Amino acid sequence: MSISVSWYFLAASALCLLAMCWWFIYRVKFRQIWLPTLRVLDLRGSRMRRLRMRRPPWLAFLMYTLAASAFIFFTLRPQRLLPLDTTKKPQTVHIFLDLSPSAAARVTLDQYLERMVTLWNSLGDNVSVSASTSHSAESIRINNLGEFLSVARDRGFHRFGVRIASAVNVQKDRFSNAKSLIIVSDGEKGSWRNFEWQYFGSGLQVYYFSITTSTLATLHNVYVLKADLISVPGGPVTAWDISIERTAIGRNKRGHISLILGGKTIDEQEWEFEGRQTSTIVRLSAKTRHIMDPGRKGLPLVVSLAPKTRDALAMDNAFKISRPMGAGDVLLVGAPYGEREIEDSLYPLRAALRVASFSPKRWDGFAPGVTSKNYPFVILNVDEAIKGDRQCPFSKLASGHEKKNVWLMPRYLGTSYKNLCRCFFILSEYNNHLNICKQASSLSSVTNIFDSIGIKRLGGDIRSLDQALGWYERSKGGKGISVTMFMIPMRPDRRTGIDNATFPLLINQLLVWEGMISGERIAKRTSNVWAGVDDATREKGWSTATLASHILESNVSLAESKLLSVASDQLPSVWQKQDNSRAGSNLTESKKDPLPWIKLCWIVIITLMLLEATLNRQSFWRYLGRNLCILIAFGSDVKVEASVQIVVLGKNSYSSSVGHLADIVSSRSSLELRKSLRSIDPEALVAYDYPWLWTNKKEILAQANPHYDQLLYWLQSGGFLIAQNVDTNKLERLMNLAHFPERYRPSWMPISPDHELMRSFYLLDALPTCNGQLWHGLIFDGRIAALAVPFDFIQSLQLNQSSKICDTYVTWEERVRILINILMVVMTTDYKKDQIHMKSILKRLR
Amino acid sequence: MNEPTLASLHPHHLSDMEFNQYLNSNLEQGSTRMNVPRVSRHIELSRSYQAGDPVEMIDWRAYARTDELIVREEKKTAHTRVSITLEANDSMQWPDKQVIGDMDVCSKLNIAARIVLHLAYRHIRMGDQVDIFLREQDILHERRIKSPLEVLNHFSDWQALNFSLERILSSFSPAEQENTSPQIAYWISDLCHENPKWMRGAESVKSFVLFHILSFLEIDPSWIVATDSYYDRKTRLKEYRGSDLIKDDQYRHKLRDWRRSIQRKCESLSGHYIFLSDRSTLSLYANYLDEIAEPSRLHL
Repeated sequence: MSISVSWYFLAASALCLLAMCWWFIYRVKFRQIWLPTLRVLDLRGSRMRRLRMRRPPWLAFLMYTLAASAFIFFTLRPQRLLPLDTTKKPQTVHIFLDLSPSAAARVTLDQYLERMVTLWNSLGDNVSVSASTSHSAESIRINNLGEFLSVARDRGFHRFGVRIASAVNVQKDRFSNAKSLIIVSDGEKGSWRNFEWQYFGSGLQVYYFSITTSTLATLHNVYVLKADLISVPGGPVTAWDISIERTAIGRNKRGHISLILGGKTIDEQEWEFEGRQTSTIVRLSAKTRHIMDPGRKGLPLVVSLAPKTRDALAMDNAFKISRPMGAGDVLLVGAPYGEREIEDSLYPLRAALRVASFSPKRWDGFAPGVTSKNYPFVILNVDEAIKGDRQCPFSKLASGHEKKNVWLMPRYLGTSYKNLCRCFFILSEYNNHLNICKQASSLSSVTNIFDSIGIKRLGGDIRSLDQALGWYERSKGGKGISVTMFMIPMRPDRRTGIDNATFPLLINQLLVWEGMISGERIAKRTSNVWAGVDDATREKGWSTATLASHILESNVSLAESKLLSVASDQLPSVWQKQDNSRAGSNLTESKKDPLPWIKLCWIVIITLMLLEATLNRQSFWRYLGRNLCILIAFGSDVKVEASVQIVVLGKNSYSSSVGHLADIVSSRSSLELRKSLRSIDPEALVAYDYPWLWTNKKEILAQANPHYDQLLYWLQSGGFLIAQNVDTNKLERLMNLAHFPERYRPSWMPISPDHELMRSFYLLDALPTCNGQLWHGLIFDGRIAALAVPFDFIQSLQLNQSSKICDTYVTWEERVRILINILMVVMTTDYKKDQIHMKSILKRLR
Repeated sequence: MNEPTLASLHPHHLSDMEFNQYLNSNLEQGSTRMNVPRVSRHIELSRSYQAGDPVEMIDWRAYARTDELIVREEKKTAHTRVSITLEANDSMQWPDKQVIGDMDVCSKLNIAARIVLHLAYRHIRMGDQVDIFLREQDILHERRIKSPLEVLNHFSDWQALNFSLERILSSFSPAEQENTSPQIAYWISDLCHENPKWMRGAESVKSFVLFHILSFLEIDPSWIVATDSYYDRKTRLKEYRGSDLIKDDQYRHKLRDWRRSIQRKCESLSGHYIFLSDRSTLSLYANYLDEIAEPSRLHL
């Protein structure tokens, strides 16, 4: 084993050797003569130093030698890491097979199996293998290649997405003995998201094995992004706007898209991508009666893409959408009369119910032998001119559904309410109160009666007797009927103050209040029960391989369709063929951190030095000086510290001290902000040696700036400029970006709520604006190179208090948070993605 | 003609007269004279009367004869425990061949060993109990001298091998414990230690004598070459250019200051400090012995 000795030891050894040589040459010049009296005489003049060998205190010397040897051993780094365990003991390896849709885009199942054969051959002989897939948490003991291949062959690729981190975490207990975990995957970004494989488990080394032998190229995949329902439910035609996207650009691509229900195509359109176009929208429609066909109940609607040229992932060409089913049927009972649009109260009500996605049906009255048991919602238009209870047949209403809603309303405005009252009590099973309804001749008498009984009142003023909109009660006999009695005909009417615009909204709110529809029903028309599953491990049944069918058949998740790949440096080390004699012995022990041992040795050495100095009755400092050589070695353990300083370009009126701000930044983050603010002349070229610059001078951004080229070069090479007090609406005119190469030409973009600046350390809701001007960022090379702030941000920070910024009240805490986020973006681009901070972030989360 | 130096010191030296006196007298019991005087009959112990002398000590017959007040005073001697410690560190073997070259110089250990045996010989003849300790690299060795002849035998053995440390060590056996209760203690060393131990030995004895032995090359740095480097072999922490040592004669000054500080410390512990080198004469050595004999009432 060859050893690479650290430069420190080489230098120290050479220095010692040089000193000894010099001493030897110096000493041989003099003849040494013994004179015993010198022992007792204390003479002036410089004594000649001698190298003197003495017998050490043996215990301390022995321990010191051992500790120093251990110290040197642990500080040396072997050039080649060899396994500690060279025995023939079988090593346990677990293999995770990623069979997600993106893998299917890269390789066929046969190609996948070929790679599995390659992997199997690289394992060597002396290995115990277990395997699991992304299908479920099941772990299988593998004895031979056939068993290994059947794991993937029998299962194939699945449609749902799986996060590898969650999957192996669930499976972890089932391969706890394994020393190595090999993940066979295509490195797709969605699958590898949030996988901190570096910290996955102590003693377990994670490897990556690609399903392809070549590098992962960008594939051309066309997929359905979403299907927006654009038509009103209940209308004769149902239509969707289908958004189609593709992953690559450059070539024209065309194809068909069809709407399929139960294997039958009900609409078909063409689509085409041209040049750099990456998305398009196609409208598909079908007759509602076809969509609502009860004979096909339960079947999903499938949007099928058929590209004319090869498509990377065929699996996501079928996109299932749910059929827009209505809220249910509603029966309106009441004979028509008068002018339909003006006088018939049930006609506008029917239209309002249809808007609320109900399917209304109207009867003139209850025919003999016909019941409303199939209708969960019945609206009765009660005519006071008709005597008797035949308008309100309890037996025809109170059956069929466990829960039934009945609305009662008068036929005309200003009539008595006797029939309405009787009907209300009949349906709500207040039979002993039927006689009292003879007194219900006016609004006030009804209010008196119902208030005295304790019926729930709807609308109106509680202090007024004639302003109740209606009354609500549930049947007492357990029939499940909820009865609502309205005191006015529910239709737009000038006298009741209900106009045509608010009437559908009023009805909708009443329906929501009674729980017949969801308040969000209209807003969520695009909701899709077949939405792609990003991580099936979160679904019930994944761990037991009993996923529900709708998950198994769900759409391919968007992350899988995009086919984005993880950068190779963020993947684990690639599994390579192992030496048979040491199969699986590439253990993590060879990567153990020697630092704790070095520190232990250091403590032992210091203790022994104290002990030796004490036993030898020497001065500790004198002894320390003699052993300085070893102590210097610990100087290499000193942590490198750096700080950031706010550097302002150009003259300004800021206070040069930002001590309080610096203390806060240092206490909250791992960054050190200097307590002084530095101002630099914009003419000085040394200004562009700093990593970030602040300025109040908008002229610096202008082309007239004599150092404009220097500024652009600085920005392109990693500098970060924060321009304050600039009109962010005129940035394009202010700064000439034509100097940048055309291919990489940046652009000023408003800072969006999901920008890294809004979440680099703190989660910010919004950045303070000034006169409607937003913060803008100059996006260059995938990063933000300059930031345009519409007001003086440093001045607002130096106030050290909450105040208004351009008529907007912004707390000082918010300003500090914004500064820290800016700092994080400047220093790390994205603090949470920067792997170097991962350890501290995980520590904080735990 | 040059006077004989310590490099030629023999146990017999300076003690011949005392030895004859000792042989003629049966009164000597040791090297310590007692404080309490007694009346004596011996004419050689006669002296003139001094005010304050006890009246019963006056020899009235002599007064009758000579009309002079004659006192016959006798002070008895006592048996004494003597400890002689020689520090034989590596520095005591200096100067080595690299320094000596063709000069006629003996090592500090040579001089120190001669002094040890000389002192031992003198005290054993006085009837004292003499223990010689050899401290080498913090290890203590011991030898109890039983007779003057034994001292002479050691001298001839050690001299035959030029007072090498190995030969000297072979004459000693490991000490079980350090003699902590001598009445007279001699400490012979070059004191080239960061943590000298002689001070501990000086605290518990009645009479302590510190012989500080250095080579004359250590005292006189005129032989030092400016372009050479000089270092301490043991600790190896200090090494100086020769030019730095001789600059402003700082080595000599620092050495003098060091000796004085040791002398002050020794005298503060009521000890005697004697500084000698291989170029010190025997007469100087004899004078030192006389000086230390009187205040401590030693009969040397």
